[in-house]
Amino acid sequence: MSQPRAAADPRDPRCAEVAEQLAVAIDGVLPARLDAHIDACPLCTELLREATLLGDAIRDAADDYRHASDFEARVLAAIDPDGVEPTRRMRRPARGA
Amino acid sequence: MGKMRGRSSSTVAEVWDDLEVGFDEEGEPEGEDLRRSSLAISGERVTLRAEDTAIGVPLMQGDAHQAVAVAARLLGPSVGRLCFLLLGSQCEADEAAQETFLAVYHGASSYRAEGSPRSWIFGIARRICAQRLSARMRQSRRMFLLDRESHGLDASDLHDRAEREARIRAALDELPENDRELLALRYDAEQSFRDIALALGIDEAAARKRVGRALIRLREKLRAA
Ligand SMILES: [Zn+2]
Repeated sequence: MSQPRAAADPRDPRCAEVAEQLAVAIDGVLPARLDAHIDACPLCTELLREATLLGDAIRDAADDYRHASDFEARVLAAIDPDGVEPTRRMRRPARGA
Repeated sequence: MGKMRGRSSSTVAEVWDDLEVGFDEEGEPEGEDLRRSSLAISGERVTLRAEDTAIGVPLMQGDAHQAVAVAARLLGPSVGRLCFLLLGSQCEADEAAQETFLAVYHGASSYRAEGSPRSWIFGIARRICAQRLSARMRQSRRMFLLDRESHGLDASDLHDRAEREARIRAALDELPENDRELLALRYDAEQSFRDIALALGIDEAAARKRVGRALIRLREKLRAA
């Protein structure tokens, strides 16, 4: 992560195309000619590698969130403060109610 | 990066009409029917997660209470994570997630089945977080940035997981709010580009491009750090 900031070779329009389609590229769904370019281009390979890592890292960053065990109970208490269910607008009766 | 699990379609509404679903005393969808129904209806255009069906059926039936009860249980953690990424604070994320499900309850009748219930609820969470960010002068996020500096992070090292997460959150914090939303929706909430496009009111191709650009900006933040 300490390399120069150039994301792609400015002389090659295919590098710009890969960058433009980066979100699709890391899902692995690119036209074959761009796949071929990526295989041959170290700059694009590095861009894709880092972008893939970033996608995973964003998910990992959310792992610090601690979901409260009483979360659902608090939601239900807030919508139903007296323990009385509000009138239901039923389009169709629920089976087994 | 695997294939995204979530999919939605404008024909979602048709799907609900074909489903007969009951709920047991615990409010759980009865039996295996729901899990199978989401497979059975996964034809060309519609693939719903089981949770979408479980939330969508009471939602379409006008049973807001049941819809919220199921949604809070099945999506509470995912909504909390999204709020956490957007707000940068555990406490605020919990509050915003709570607010989200109250808004689902009060806005249940406005669900139009254009996207999956999941993406609709994420959209509500996103708006609530945006309101909080603009209203609260980003106090908690500034605190987070100060906290980050005290760690004296080595810019070249992303190998340690805790350190990497701290750096990613700090870099996300420095991104424009739109970029943060796009990245959180795509890579944590695993929303399809179509659902992201619906949530942001843009077309799908634009959603793909914007997610890519947000990734590039995030990468540049980390490289500059
Ligand atoms: Zn290239």
